[in-house]
Amino acid sequence: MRILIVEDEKVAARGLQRMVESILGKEIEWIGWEASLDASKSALAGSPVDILFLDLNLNGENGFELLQWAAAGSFNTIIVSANEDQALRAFEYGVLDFVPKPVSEERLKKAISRVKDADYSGKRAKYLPIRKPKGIVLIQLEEVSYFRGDGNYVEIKLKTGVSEYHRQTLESLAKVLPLQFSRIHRSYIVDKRDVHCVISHGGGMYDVELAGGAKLPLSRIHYKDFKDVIFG
Amino acid sequence: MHHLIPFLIPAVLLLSPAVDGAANTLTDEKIIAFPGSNAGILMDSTRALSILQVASPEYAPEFRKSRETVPNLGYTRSAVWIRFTVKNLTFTDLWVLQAAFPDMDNVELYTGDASDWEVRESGHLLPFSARKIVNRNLLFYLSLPFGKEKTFYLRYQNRMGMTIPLRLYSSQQYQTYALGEQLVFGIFFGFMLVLTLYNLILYIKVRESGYLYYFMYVTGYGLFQFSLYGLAYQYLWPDWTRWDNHNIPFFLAFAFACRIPFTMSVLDSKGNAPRWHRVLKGLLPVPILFAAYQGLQILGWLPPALALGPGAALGASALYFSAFTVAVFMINVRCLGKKVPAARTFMIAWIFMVSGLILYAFKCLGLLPSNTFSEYSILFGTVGEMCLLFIGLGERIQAIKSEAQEKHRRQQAAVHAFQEEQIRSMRLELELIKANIHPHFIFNSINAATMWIREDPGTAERLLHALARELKQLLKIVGEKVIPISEEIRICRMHLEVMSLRHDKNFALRLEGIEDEEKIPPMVFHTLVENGLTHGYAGRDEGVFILSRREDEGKIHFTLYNDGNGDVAGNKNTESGGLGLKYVRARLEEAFGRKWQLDSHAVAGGWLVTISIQKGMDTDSPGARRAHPPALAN
Repeated sequence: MRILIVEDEKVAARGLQRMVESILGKEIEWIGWEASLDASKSALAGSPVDILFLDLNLNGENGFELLQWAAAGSFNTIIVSANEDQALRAFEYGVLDFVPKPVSEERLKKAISRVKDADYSGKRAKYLPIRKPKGIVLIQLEEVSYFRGDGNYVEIKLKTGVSEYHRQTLESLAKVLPLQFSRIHRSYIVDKRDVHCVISHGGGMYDVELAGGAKLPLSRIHYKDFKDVIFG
Repeated sequence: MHHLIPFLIPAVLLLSPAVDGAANTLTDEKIIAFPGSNAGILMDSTRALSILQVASPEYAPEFRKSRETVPNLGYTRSAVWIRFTVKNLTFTDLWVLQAAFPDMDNVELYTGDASDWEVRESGHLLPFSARKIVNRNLLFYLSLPFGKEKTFYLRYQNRMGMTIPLRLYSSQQYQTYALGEQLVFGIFFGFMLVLTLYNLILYIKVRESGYLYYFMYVTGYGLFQFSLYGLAYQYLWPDWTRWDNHNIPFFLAFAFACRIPFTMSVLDSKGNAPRWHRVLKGLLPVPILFAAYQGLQILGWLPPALALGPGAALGASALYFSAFTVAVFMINVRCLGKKVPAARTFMIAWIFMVSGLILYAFKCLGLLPSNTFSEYSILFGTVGEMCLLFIGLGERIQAIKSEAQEKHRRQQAAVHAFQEEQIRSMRLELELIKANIHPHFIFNSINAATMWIREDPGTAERLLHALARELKQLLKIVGEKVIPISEEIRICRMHLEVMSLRHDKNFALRLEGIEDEEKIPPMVFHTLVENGLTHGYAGRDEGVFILSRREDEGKIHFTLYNDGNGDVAGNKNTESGGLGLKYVRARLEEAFGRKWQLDSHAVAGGWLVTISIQKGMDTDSPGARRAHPPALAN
């Protein structure tokens, strides 16, 4: 597991690293520390990470900008901050957890466990910040019809029919999506409310038909979630 | 003279010269005659002549011919004899002769011929019960047989003005005239009565002293006129001759005594024309004393030696009246200049009143012919004055009301401003606490301490102690408006220690030229130190802050320099730094008003903030200023 700590206070960063190391032990492939946004960007450009620990107060840098930047990343973000009043907003932007300072090892353990839990799904995200050439753009999750995973990328299909692309694995993204989003297939997550019907092809082959007309494959293991809307 | 028709035609017409002739010929077309216009007048200064002497041929040449319809001889102590002749050519044989106005002391009518004179008497000194004809004017019935020429003699005596409004009416015509006269008086005194009662009620409701004085003034003046026209004598005290002899000056004095406080009250003469106010104040006792004097005279308690003769009384009152008029007039002029509300209305009212009185006085002195206009000039003046005063009073009350509203509004604004200031001050304190005991500061510090515990418990202990001392110092100065700079330096040092330990860096504060007891608002430099720390020490292991003080050109300059990376602080977002400066500015403004400047900019190798305060600012005063509400505009 690759981990980056972004924290402007040397002592706090040192302490946090020590705690993370004691929790994850040998699972850590690489762990690093940066004190500013700019330095973090260059560090990430070379080697992507799995978890980012982020303090939203970096030498007076804009906490909101940091949050958007982190949420648009391909990694899971855990905020570590003394500003608990920022927690609600952080969750809306799809961070995995918010660990308040002073940091206790138990609380940190719980946050890290969410990264490792394949079925964990956050419930509070409202936006998905994505990186575009012009900068970070906020996608409202209410407007998303389904997500299609493709390796390290996710295609975001909006209800308007437009597609957007986001660099993150579908597994990583799934952890921060709210409850209305359901996994129907290895490569698909749909907004359940957008499902029009389920079409049976026989022999355990199913398709989900969305309100917009798109037909997506439904895996047998997720079929139980949709049996009440089976059609034909 | 006293009939309705001339009352309605311009006075000029009445001044037309009388037809010269020995006898007044009464015809059907001429059923009102003015024997005065061709009467003979004889002045008897000895007051001893009898009818036999006067009617004898040897006195006939002494009679000079009257030139006026209403002979007006002014003030005279002489007995005045009037002779006139009438020839009746109508079939009406009963006629009414108006011999005099009500104030004529005594009038005798002689009818008959050389050998046999019949005398009839009337006059002010005669109580109504003793009179043959009950009327305010002094009247006699004359029997004039058709075609016969008759000569009459009248003898007058009066201490007051000698006006002889001789008029001869057919008895039928007299009734028409009397009704018209009653109508005019009814309207006038009705008006006065309504005005009086209305203002009394207004006073009771509004409790504005102007209305009370006005009520008293109108009452006194109304009674004066009711008495002047003989109506009071006829209707109120028909047999109280002694009282009626003196009540006219009494009521006039009473009215003046009320007019003075009225003027003082409605024009606020004390404030607007202090000198003339004193004059008027000096004049106030005069009518009061005079009214008392008249009262004594009426009751007969005044020794005869002290009784003023009519001349002296007249002279004194003329003098008094002049002073009074001038004083009121001048106060009015001053008030006009100062744009006192309703001053113009009061001015015109006063001119009306004075003109009426002067015209009447001129008539009494014989300087003006007696006619409808001069006879009723007081009435005209009074109606004009009363109406205008009433309007002026209304304007004045309105002005007072809107002034009171304006005052109320200003007071509200002052109270509001004061409350605003208090709220602002409280908000500052709140911000001070919030900015400095912000959870994020404490939690970050504790977080660092918990991390230190593992690495080096001694440093953790130092950090927690430094944090505790900083919080204690903060609580100590947080409620103050200004504090000695040494206290501020202490908290800055504690903060630097906390931050040094949190960052595992070394921050120091150096002082240059600081005077320990100099007062400054709290947390100003602390905020600036915080700002300096937040920006510009990334990747650095130590930092220096230098606080220095110097004086020039009546100003004290405090500069705070730090060697942080100025460029970083300048270019990067300044959200928190901007908030900090805003707070510092608010604190300085609260303590020093507008007598300070703040300048913050990058310099080579660091960042420099300069605060300049005008010398001589009593830094204790802001606290004192805030402790008391601003003086309310009174």
